[in-house]
Amino acid sequence: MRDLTGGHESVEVPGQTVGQVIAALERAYPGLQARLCEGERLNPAIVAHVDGKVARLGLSEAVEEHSEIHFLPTIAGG
Amino acid sequence: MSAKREYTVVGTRPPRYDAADKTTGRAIFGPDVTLPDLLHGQILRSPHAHARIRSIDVSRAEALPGVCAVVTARDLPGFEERAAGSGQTTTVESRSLYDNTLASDKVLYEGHAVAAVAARTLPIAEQALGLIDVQYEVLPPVLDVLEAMQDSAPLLHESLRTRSLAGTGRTPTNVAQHFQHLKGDPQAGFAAADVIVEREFRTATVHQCYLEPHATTAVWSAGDTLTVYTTTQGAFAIRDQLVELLRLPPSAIRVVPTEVGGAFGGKNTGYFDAVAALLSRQSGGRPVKIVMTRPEVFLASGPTPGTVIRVKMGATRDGRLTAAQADMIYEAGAYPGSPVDMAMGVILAAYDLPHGQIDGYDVVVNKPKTTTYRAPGATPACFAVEQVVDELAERLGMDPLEFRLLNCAKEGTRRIEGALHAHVGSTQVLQATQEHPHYRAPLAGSHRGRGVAYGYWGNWGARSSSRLTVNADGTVDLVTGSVDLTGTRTSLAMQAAEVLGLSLERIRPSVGDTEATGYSDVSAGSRTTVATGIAVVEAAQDVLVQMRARAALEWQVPADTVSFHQGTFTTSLDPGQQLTFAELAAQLPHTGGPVTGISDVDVQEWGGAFGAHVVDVEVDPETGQVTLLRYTAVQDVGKAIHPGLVEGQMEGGTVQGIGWALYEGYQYDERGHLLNPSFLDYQIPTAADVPPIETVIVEVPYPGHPYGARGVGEVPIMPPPAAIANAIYRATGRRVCQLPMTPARILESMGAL
Repeated sequence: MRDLTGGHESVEVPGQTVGQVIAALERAYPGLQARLCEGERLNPAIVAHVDGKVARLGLSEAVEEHSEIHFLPTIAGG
Repeated sequence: MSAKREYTVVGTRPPRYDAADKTTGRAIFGPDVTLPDLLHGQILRSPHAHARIRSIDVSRAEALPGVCAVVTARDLPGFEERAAGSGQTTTVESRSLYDNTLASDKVLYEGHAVAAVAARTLPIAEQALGLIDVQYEVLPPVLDVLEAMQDSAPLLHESLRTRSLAGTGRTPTNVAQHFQHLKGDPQAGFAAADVIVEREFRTATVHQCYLEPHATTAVWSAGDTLTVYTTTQGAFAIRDQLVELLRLPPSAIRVVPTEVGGAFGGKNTGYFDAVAALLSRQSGGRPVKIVMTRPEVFLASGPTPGTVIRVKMGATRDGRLTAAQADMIYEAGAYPGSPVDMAMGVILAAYDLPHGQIDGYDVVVNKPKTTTYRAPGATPACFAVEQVVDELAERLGMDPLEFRLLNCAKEGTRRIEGALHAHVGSTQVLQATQEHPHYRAPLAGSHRGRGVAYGYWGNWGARSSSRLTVNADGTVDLVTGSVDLTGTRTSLAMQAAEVLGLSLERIRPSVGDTEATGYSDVSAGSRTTVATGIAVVEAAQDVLVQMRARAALEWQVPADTVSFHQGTFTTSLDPGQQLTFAELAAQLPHTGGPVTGISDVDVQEWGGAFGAHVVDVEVDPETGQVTLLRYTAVQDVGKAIHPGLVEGQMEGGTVQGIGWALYEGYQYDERGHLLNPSFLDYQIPTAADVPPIETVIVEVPYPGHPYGARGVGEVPIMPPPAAIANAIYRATGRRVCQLPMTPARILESMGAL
């Protein structure tokens, strides 16, 4: 995703939910929303982690003022 | 969690609940299921690795006396819609569940299901298969991932385009997905390195080799509801699959999991539950059972991918890693979906790297669709990176464990994909390995060598359900939705007993079907003792809250004056009043009836696990034969709920890793025919091949679990191939970079062939 963020590895945007954060990302870095979402939901191949926890509510997951969000591939196991 | 806590039941080694039934033949596994009026199902499979289906004529099979039903892909709901490329299943990915169940327009691997028959007897069903006429246009297959990536390679799916976060490709390809993780500036990291090692590794397609084959019995009941008895890692996963394949509401399907005779990730998905259901419906609702033969298991259930992995790592003269880069190319099999994404999450995760890049490719080839196998995708990754790390340590003149200790990921280390390590026991594992007598013992003799390897698996949490019901006799029924693969009925009951202050004999655990328990994810990802354990503990705490209220009712005192300690209820208002759990249970019918505690959890954070292995080998320079002399496995398990079961997981995973290292692999001819689909020709380790495995349990409690447990089942399969390869290097002076490390490959590496 660095190609859309001007090479930045991490960026800071405002938002109180994962969905609001993605919307803010889209305003700052057009094109990111299309990569992270499929319609009104997170891309099913991606899981958002908020402060190390899986965001089970997806776009509705609450985000604190200084939360760190990662978008990672879905992982399970054998 | 730093202080050592004492427990009554947790940490002990009671017998497994399922031991007696399994050792006396009373346990009911998938193939043992039988019902009145049972029909026998058989599946017609493709003899070709790649072909277009021109026509299928089932009329002669249908006319055979004793045949009750014949089905093809046309009988799966939505066939016309898929054939027209309309509706919701227009992509290769969305069609793959249907097409892998029964092929529609193409067969993509030898053994691909084409049609199925149900008949009164197995011989009639087998005879009917021979009467089905399938006309194929045979196409050239592609079996190697590097060849499959070439522009000139035969295409499995004309409509497949490479998907990545950067978008979707425009040209037809066999590369289904490209993932990339990037941290820092790898070029700058390599520029700062004094030593760089770069190598390419190959690993074989390997099967989980569970002894019990896939087996399913499906029956339709009055009211048009379907019941499926099947050997699976998750009854709800099978129900979800049937909802999609048969387009039924979940309320119309009941899935009953049987005992499981081995799974290791290979039974997270079903292969013919829907086929048995279609045959049953077409037979007027009679039950239909399908059991795979061993060749069918090899040919048509999901193995784990063969891989090509390139790893480059750099370090400074004083032994600090500066950068790493990994290209990981994984076979998806016939349809997209290899575990390359999971493998990318662990390949470099054991190390603290300032710069790194990982590129993963999911590539379709004419082999069965791959599926999960114990630490999916991670064993090849560990084989690659741990040999490169070993070589770096050697070139720097450092002890291999000292080098790992200097560079290991710790609390707060940021991984390449960006996430942070939390509460990990990496240092403790490496130190325990370093201090172990095995690592310190001299190893004398020619052509002998000692190798070490170290691995990390992230584990899993997810959804689990638990219900505890107190009986009037003081026993407690425990029902969870988690299939018991490894003795988890015992490890879960132990956690309930600990909370309730009861002896383990008082807990009666069982696995519920999809109508008897709440939604539970598959027993996989080393999650059951941990995540379902949390659900069990919460349900037990719910029981205690209700029991305290009943005691309060009995004594006519406020509930908040009642306390529970070591199996006895007391009230602070009257020290003379006390009731044991069993005494209060006996009063339940008079104080409002039975007490049931329930909990449904979706565990969002869990503890990852590190393991390190040490192995001594001897290589026969004449034959290339490798003999394992001594083996030690060290692992952080958080808290061992049942140390015996934990040791069993560590030993079992190690043995399977030894199989990957020295013996196992699918072998194909150039037309894509599998040459070794039986245990006569597909070699797995036996008791004669495996030395005693010493296990060392390290306990760094994970604070997110009530007792500190981490998942344990997956890490132990990761280090063996790398540890053995590193030992072979020290024995012969040659690196073997391809699995399995057969005698021929070892002799070739030594220049003797």
